Amino acid sequence: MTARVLASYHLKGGVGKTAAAVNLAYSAARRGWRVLLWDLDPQAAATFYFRVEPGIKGGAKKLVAEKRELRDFIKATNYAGLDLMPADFSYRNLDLYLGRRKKSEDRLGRLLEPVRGDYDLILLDCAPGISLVSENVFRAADALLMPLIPTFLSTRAYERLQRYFAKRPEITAHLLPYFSMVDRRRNLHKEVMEDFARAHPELLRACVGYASMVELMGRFRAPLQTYAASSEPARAFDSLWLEIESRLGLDAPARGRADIGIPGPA
Amino acid sequence: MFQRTLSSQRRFRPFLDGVRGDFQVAREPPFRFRRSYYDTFDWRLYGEDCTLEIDETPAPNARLCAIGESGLLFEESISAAAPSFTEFPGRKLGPELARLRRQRALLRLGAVEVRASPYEIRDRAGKILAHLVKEQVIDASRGGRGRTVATAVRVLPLRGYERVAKRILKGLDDPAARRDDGSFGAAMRVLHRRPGDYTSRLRVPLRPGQTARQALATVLLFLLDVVERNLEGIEADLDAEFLHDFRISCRRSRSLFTQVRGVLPPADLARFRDAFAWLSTLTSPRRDLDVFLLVLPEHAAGLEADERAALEPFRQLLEVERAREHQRLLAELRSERFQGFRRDWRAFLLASAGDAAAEDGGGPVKAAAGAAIWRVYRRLLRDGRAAGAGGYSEALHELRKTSKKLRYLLEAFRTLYPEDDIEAVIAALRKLQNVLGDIVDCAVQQSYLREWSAALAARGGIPEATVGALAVLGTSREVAGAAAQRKFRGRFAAFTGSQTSARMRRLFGSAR
Repeated sequence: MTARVLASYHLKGGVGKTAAAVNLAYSAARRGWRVLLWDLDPQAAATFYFRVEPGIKGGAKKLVAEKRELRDFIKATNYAGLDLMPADFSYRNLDLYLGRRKKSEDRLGRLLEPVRGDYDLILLDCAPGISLVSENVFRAADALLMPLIPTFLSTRAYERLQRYFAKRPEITAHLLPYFSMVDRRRNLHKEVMEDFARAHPELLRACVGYASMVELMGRFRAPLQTYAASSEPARAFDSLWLEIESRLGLDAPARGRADIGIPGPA
Repeated sequence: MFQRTLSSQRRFRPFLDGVRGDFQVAREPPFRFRRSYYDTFDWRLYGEDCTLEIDETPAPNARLCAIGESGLLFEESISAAAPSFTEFPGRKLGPELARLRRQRALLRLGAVEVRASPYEIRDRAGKILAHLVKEQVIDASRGGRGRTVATAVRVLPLRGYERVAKRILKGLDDPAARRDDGSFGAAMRVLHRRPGDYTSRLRVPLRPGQTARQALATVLLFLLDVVERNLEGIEADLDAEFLHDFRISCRRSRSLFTQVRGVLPPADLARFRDAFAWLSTLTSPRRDLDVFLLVLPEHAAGLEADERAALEPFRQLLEVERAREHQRLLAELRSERFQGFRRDWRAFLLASAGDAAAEDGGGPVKAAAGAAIWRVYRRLLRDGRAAGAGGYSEALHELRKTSKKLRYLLEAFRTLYPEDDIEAVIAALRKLQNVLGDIVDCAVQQSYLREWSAALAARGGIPEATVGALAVLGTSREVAGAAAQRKFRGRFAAFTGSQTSARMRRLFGSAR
């Protein structure tokens, strides 16, 4: 089996992309998926959450030039079946390095190719913005997971992207929006969500509420489910992952402990 | 995975204290489980410096490990442990084990109790860098909590942190323990198993000072042991090689006492020669069917998919025939005739191998062996010239038989001669035998295919496609046979070339 590629993406920053990528990766790994999370954001937040040192030898330049392979830098996390490709500060220049290469918009997909056999799922945690890196992500991914804060600007940005995709038939990635940082006490959030749901059947029904518990990921440096498993946002991420599996027609692989590297007996 | 065996349990605490100096160490709850070990009857995995273990937990893990530095090769979850595996499950392990076991079944050598004490090795940020497990092999045979017979340390590195695992184990590095097998050696001792204790390879240590009778009887006793040790596997029908080793040992025995003349009493030998001929006839039908069933998938691979599918009724016929022949064989092997043969043959050989027989022993072994080898070698040269271009013929069949006789002699007495020379001659002969085997096997298989095709047609109800596919298979065997025939002259010339001839003269020329 070759890995499916999903990206946690939004043009805007601060919408919950990294929290989603980390927690969804964890949910998927617990369901038996062999997961690789690639932290593409030079801020290295996902890398920090997994307690891994950021940085790759030779930086993004050598990686993009294919002088080094992705597999040389992948690190196991503290969780069985979940590996991380750490961020590097040089990712801030990723656009530049990609632009220097032939077929620059397919480069990221090419870099992923050698490790696709090692995993069932590759999750890309993207930096905000729309650039050559995003273009690469659009072409490499099977689906884009888009956290939307229930505000007009956020949903408007999504619809612009949707129109952009409609004009680009070569991009086959599904757009899977879901609401994030939802405050149910606010009428505006409710209204925006209802309007958006009517207009967008592709919307994932699970949504992640605003919760300080999510912010504590920085303190615990761990996925939410490990320190607040029964909290509302932890359950929301688990539900979100199940909905993504179902929407994309993915079956959770049946794996034993040894297959995902857990020592000792069950 | 990296592993080290500790010379004493007491070494673990100072070792762990050393690890604590560099890392944070968190102890996890200990657990006990049974670990079973597997190998083929003739230790093919161990022969390749590998061990196969299955942790018999609710979700069993199978692990192929390398003895020595490299540690774990493959690890995979399997559904259940079994007394034996003719095919091993697993996406990665299955193919790798198929390569190592070469058609032999994997047999459960036994299981030992293991007490595991796991530890997480973390850095200051709390990142897990490796898992460390202290494993104690427990001898529970005396009841109670059992006695620790070996302690090993296993470090399971995490991806991207392999260097940490090596650094952790550095404190246990011992140049004398290069072939560290973790807990395997201790487990084998608990199970009273001696790795490598069976081989059908004919390499019996002989002394030039022995008489021909003593030496020949020693070799023949080894071959009788091989025959007897394979009986259980034949009975249980674990794999086809048990019968193969049985047959080869019988054939070697008969050939050796026939070719090394004037050494054993001829009156007794006539009786035993008949017994060995009987055993050969007895075992041939099942062996032929074994071979055909083993090679059928490989031969059928060259056919079209629909032709391959059409062979299924034929394969089923072979299976039915094989089951019938197997039962017939078992009945004979359980018979008084066979049991009596075993007793008489062993008693005869023990009497011949003993010191009492030294007086009238047929002279020094080297002279008798050299004379026999030289005579068969000369005959092989004659037969080879008579075999012409290598087409399948009576002469070529004779050549194949003579080459086998020579090989058995060379192997039986190899320990009396300089290793480099004798092994080089055996290797050259093996190459010639391979091509002879291919030619004869292809011809024999064509003939069998014709017979079976006729048998199927006579039974009726067999699809036309099956008869057609058998004809295609027969043609493919003919093509393969022709390809082997083209190689014959070259191989024969290589064997009779100056290098091998010079070696033969050096080794056995004095026996001319």
